[in-house]
Amino acid sequence: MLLIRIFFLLLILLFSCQKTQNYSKILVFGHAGMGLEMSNSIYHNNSIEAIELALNIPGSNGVEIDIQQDLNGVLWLFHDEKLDNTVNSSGCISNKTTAELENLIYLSHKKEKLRKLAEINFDNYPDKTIFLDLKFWNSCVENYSSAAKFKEALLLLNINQKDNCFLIIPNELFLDEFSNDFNVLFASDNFDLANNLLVQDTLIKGVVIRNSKINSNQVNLILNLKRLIFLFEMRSPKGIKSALNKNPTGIISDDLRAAIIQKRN
Amino acid sequence: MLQKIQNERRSLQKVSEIWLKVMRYIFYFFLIIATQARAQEFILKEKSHFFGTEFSISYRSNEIFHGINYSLIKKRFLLFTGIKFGVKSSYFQLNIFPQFNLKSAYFIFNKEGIKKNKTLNLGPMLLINYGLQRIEKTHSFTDLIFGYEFNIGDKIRFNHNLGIGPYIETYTDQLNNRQKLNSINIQFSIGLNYAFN
Repeated sequence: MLLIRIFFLLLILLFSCQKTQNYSKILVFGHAGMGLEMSNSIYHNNSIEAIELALNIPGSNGVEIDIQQDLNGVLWLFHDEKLDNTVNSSGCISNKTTAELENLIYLSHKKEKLRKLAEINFDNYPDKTIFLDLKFWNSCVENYSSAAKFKEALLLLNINQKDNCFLIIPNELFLDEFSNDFNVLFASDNFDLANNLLVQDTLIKGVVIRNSKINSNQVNLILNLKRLIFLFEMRSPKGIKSALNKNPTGIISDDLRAAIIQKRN
Repeated sequence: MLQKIQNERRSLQKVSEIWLKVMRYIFYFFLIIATQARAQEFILKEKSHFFGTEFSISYRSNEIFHGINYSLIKKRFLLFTGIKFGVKSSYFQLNIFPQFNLKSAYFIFNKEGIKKNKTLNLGPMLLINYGLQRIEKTHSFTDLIFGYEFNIGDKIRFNHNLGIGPYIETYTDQLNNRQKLNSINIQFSIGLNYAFN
């Protein structure tokens, strides 16, 4: 009898009303490939396999990728501050040479290789937008990496000539270094700071902000400045729905499939 | 384009409404048998037919699956066939999609007469799931799950299974190339069955 009661309770929990809205204009992107810290994702975040899947999956408008720079100036696709427990090595990317990083693999089921940014062929995806989230912080030395060196490496890959590529800059100190040559978005959890920077600096194309740190009125304020606004950190259907309801330019979702489905509905 | 979206939404709404009706009948069905079954002395035959409902969750997908099924238990063999619907968050969001199930099990452990004529069965099972989901284009998901099946009860039986196996997703990408993704999946299910012999 208890089991039957639990069964009915589950049925009631599943039935709930929901209003439908039109989200067709909102763009949908994968966070670090098919999602960050998604334990059930087939591929590891920032692996070339996850990025290609996110770019090829119908309904996706692009992908966000995390970028770090090694001692030789080569740019790598990697999210965490340290390599420990993620790949078969330890320490920080900023303290390693290209040779040391070349044969590293992720400690995941598929054992994907750690890859360079140069291995992504942007020309294969002319209709997709690619966000490069630049990770300047070196947690091994508790200091920032050189922005000038980052810029040099990006220029070498002609990122400045790619209209479908945006740089995400997480610190206002580095904005000036990049905003003249690249499409630049400022990433911050502080809406007031982001809003002030957008008012002052017309070269900044928009802002990337955590979904939980902004409401729909604030989204409208950014849109009224004729700038782009992208929300990130949402994985549940409820979170995705709340982000879509704010009507931003786009959402960077940790569950790309769920975001595409929610957008369709 | 707008017309296409509206048509799709209408058809999904229709499916959702039908599913809601089915769910209502399941509710009434179990409401009746819950009040009747205790009063009956029921002895299962060697070959018993069951109608039931089952919930399942799997590691690889973020959905809860729920559906109806028919199963046949002949001595120690179980043959199960069912249809489930994956639910993203609620039926009313119209995000439901179908999954077809075929399962067989052999009960190595079979104990009759425990606690008021209840029967307990436990044994290995093989389950095949085939699901279809529209993510802009249709993706198909095939599971082959190896694990154990457990059930207990008499006329009303509680069943549970847990298993692991390959998981294959196939879809057509934006360049119209057929893509195939292979990985491993773990599935957990619980359900209730009613024997109608």
